[in-house]
Amino acid sequence: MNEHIRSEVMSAIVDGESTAEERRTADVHLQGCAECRRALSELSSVRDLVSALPRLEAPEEVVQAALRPGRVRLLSPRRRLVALAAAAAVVVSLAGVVRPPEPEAEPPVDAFVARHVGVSAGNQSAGEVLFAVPGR
Amino acid sequence: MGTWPGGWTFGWWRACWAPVSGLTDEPGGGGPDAQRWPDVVARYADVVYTMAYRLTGNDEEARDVAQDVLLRLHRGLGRYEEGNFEGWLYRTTVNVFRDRLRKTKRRREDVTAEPPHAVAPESVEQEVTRTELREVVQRAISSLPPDYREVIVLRDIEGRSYEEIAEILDIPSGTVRSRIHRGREALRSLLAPYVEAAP
Repeated sequence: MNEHIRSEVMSAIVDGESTAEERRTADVHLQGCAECRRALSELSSVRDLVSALPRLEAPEEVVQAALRPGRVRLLSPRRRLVALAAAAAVVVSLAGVVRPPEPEAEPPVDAFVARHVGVSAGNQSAGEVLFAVPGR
Repeated sequence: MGTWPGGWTFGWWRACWAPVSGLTDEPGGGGPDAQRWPDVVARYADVVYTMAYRLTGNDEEARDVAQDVLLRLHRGLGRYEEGNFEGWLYRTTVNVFRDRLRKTKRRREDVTAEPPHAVAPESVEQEVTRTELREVVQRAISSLPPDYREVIVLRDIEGRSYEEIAEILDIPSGTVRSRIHRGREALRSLLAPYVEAAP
């Protein structure tokens, strides 16, 4: 029984990169196997679709930048936007650092003390409650 | 297809340089010198941009990649010694592509409209359907894993042999073979409606 051609070998055959031995075996098999013939022709069609893609023209901007490699590179619109956003972020964060500190809020110590003095005047002090020894 | 006249042998790139007027290197000199840079740009800007576009599927990214590649080539030209110029060019393009992929992380699926190509098309109607087909094919390529994309582009767009690709990517040629096969199988199912089997 003749084994089907491995797909990897088929791709190599399409590229003319199979070994002579692989090619010989494949040729014999292809004679009697419509399935493999079909697979081979599909892979070859895939190759044709990709290699039919044309050579593209480099944008003028790229060519010009390449001809003056010393100059600062042109940034693409998206990158320009990102750079602008980054610059804005730096300005904002610097503003936060540089801004004069607000006067420190002072706790109302006097009022607090006065209230406490008032409370403990007639009762035990906090220390007395905490460290009270039972039975004393 | 796409095999250079000199084959892939030592100094074969001389054969590639020769057709460009004035681009042969000095006798006994190193490679092409920086003075010839405008010739290098004229000859290779389209090659680099095309490869960058086929790899990224996106005009904006392709511009960035192409600009980076040309900058690196210019920087390296002084140190460039006789050898395989195009191999170096392809390797640099793949490296810049990989660097960007690593940096940007996000997978860009947004294939932009097919940019203008270097050779003028024949008729407008023919061109419309062809452009659509090209965009479909490009979208399929862009959806492949980067490893497969690299070998497919080098093989089917740039016409490099397995051995050349192995050298460019510094991988065994058996790996080239299996990646091309997997990439092409993936394309076969992605492009199923457009794939024709001969009767």
